[in-house]
Amino acid sequence: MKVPSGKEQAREEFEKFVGSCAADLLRTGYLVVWDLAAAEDLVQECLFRVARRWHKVRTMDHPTAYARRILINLALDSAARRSRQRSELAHHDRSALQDRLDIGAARQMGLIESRMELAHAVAALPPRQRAALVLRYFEDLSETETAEALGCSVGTVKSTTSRALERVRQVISSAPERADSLVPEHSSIRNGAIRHD
Amino acid sequence: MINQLEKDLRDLFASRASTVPADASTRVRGASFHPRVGHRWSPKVTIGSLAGLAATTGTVVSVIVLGSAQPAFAGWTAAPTALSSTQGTSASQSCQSQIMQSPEAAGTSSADWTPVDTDTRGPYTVLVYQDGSADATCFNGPSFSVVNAESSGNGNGQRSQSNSVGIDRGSSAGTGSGSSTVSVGTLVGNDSNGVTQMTVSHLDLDSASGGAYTLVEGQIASGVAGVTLVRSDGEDVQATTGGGWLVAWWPGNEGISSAEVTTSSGQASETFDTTTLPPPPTGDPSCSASSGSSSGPAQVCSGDPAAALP
Repeated sequence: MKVPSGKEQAREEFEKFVGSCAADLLRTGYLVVWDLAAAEDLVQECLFRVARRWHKVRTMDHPTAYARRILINLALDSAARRSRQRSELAHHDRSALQDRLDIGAARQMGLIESRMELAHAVAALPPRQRAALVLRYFEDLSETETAEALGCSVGTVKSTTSRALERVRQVISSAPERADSLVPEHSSIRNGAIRHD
Repeated sequence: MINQLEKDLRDLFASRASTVPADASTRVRGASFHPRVGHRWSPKVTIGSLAGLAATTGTVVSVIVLGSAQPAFAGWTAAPTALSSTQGTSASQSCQSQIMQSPEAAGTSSADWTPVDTDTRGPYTVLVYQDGSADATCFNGPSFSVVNAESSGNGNGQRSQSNSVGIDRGSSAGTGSGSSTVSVGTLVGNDSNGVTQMTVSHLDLDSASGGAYTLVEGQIASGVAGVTLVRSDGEDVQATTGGGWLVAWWPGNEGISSAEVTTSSGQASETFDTTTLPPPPTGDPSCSASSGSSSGPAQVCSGDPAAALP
């Protein structure tokens, strides 16, 4: 039986690592940048960077957390460029296809209109605020873990998350007529209190 | 206590994340990442060492720093890499769809277009198709596909070019959110047993996709076992050969100066008259806008390839 060399073993480990985390990184990247094609590019660049440092990353306790931090950094570093592109391609970003996806997702909860308002409010957040929400409420990271991923202090995570939630609430409530007519009375989107932790 | 807004956010994120198609993950995993497993000198150390050597010996050292900025077309390699089945399937589906939108595909079905050569470099795949009266070259990356279709045979034995460029930026962004500038020219080989003809195209994708790149495709004699293209900057790029075709590409607008052709009788250098080529795209106002684009504006500057032919 052939024993794999150290190089082959490292390559196999890396392929296993990519297989285990690529889909998760893509979903996280998609939610942070709000654009699938851009997310694919970012995740590939992220994995290329991990590959270049694989001799070090493979010895880490949490290589996935390291990759996630690179991904978030890449997403935030290129935020200004993507923001310009979004403004130039606004019609493409709010394409019929994307609207159908959002509507399809919302229908599952029976809250089409409120869900659309929430999605638009999150999409309009500054990238760092959206990243904080994604890490806290999609990745279910603790404030400490979120701070590590964002490369900031726990206090900054708290304030960023708080501002993001407040901004989402304000955006939703800024269209009261539409919200009043469409959002159910019990919906938290109209009445939700913000917890500042 | 988790408030309702936080719960709504969790539901929104989970729901939106579930819309990521499986083939998107496959595309991401399909790249050849080439993990580094050993220590390598950093560019700073290398440059410092060279400078030290220069100071010691009195030699003038010219250093070109590569990769100082965000690399365009990350993962590109000068030699072809292996094509995984997932990457091949994804590229083939995307390319066939894109080709069928080109003017050259009018009146044909996707089954008419047969792949004759496939070049893979990291996450990028170039597929050359033929349908008997036209050729189509598809450049597929993680989030885009670009098709150049070329009609052949116009009744008088000459080859006429009708390039069309389409960009498919992926499912989420829709079609046509990019543009491409094209400069196309044909080189005729001087060795009937080597490279008989090459088409050199300079294209410029939007920066999000990678920026400028140069695509070379051509016909080779049946006895050719391999071709290495020598760029005008002296760098070698190994072409993929198969089915009587050669294909290669590289980031940037570097031209081509010669080719090292390997046959059963050995290796020989073949040179080309590059003066017949139009210059790389620089926004030349004499270039005409293409009406053959299936999505978005494309600018085409063509040399006179027919005039260069025997």
